[in-house]
Amino acid sequence: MQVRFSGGKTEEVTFREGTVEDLLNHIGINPVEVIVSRSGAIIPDDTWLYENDEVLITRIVHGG
Amino acid sequence: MSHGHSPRCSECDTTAVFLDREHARHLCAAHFSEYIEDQVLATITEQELVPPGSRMAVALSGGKDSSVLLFLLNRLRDRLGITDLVAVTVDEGIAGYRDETMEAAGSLCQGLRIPSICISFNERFGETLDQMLVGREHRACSYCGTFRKRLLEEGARRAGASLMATGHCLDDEVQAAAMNVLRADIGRITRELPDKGRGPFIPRIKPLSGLMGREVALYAMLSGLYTELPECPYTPHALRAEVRGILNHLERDRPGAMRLMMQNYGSFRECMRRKAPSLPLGRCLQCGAPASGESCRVCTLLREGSAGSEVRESQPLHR
Ligand SMILES: [Zn+2]
Ligand SMILES: [Zn+2]
Repeated sequence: MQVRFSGGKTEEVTFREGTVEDLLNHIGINPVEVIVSRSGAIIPDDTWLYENDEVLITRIVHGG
Repeated sequence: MSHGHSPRCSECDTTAVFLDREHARHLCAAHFSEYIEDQVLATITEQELVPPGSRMAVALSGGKDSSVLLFLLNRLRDRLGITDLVAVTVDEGIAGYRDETMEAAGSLCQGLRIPSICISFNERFGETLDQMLVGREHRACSYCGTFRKRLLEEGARRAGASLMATGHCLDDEVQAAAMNVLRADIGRITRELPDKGRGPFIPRIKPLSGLMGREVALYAMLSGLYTELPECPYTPHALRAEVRGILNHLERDRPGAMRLMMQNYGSFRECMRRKAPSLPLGRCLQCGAPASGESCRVCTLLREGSAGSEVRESQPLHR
């Protein structure tokens, strides 16, 4: 799965299907610290994802 | 083509944007925003934080939390009986970071037609934060926090405000509480909060203190207030960054943990106050600001700065 990150980085991640939370756990990110969207729409942590989904992970910047 | 399982809003059955783990429900964008506004109203009214007819200063850094704060207070101002809102922005002088957030603060005020006051470390103390911190980067947060607080107070006075709101969310509050306990900082633990006009400071309130940082960020995104901004370059030096990581893990494994810790901290404070009542505030001999000893924090740090880098670190928990 192609995963985009805020800031512009893209990573290829081995992930067939599962929830947003599964994906985040798989790549070692705490869901409390990010917001995830698919094809431009923000999605809840229990949304089911498939390998071809376009996923963007936005890390929440602290402060302010 | 794969939109197999898209959770629906528990209130209206449209597409959800948020899983509220604490209350085991889903919310769509509209119901999520309503929930956030209700939470903020509840925080303010339950604690009777805003007397009707208030002229309120809002500490606005330009980051997501303070932007959401200003946006929400503006939206709720009639319901809260706020007569005037004034934004107060402090430019600490942090290269490669503050310019962008200052710009965001300015354009938000313009968009909402809210007057603003800006004060910089440089104009007030003769040095930017970057200049103050050469050789003592690990103390960035205590320098920055102390001086910023003073300038916010001065800005609020200049604005003629009767009240000042800051954008601290639940995460910030729990992190501060945990650090106070880790350092056994009895003075901070037992200090009376300046939220009801007791003491010499302009009363300060934290309308977002019932919301998780993640909820504030999501509200910012849904309201078009979230811009990709750089992070403060001093963040990695801070003990707070580690405390934040630990608390976020707890929250992930036990939804609601932060809220519970904050409630418990409240009981702990009460108990500590009875054991160690806080010292009455006097006046700083140098600048006349409220101080618990002969010298306020601002004057103490300014003196350390001019004494050079031989001044030793006193907090035990820094690396
Ligand atoms: Zn709904
Ligand atoms: Zn002083």
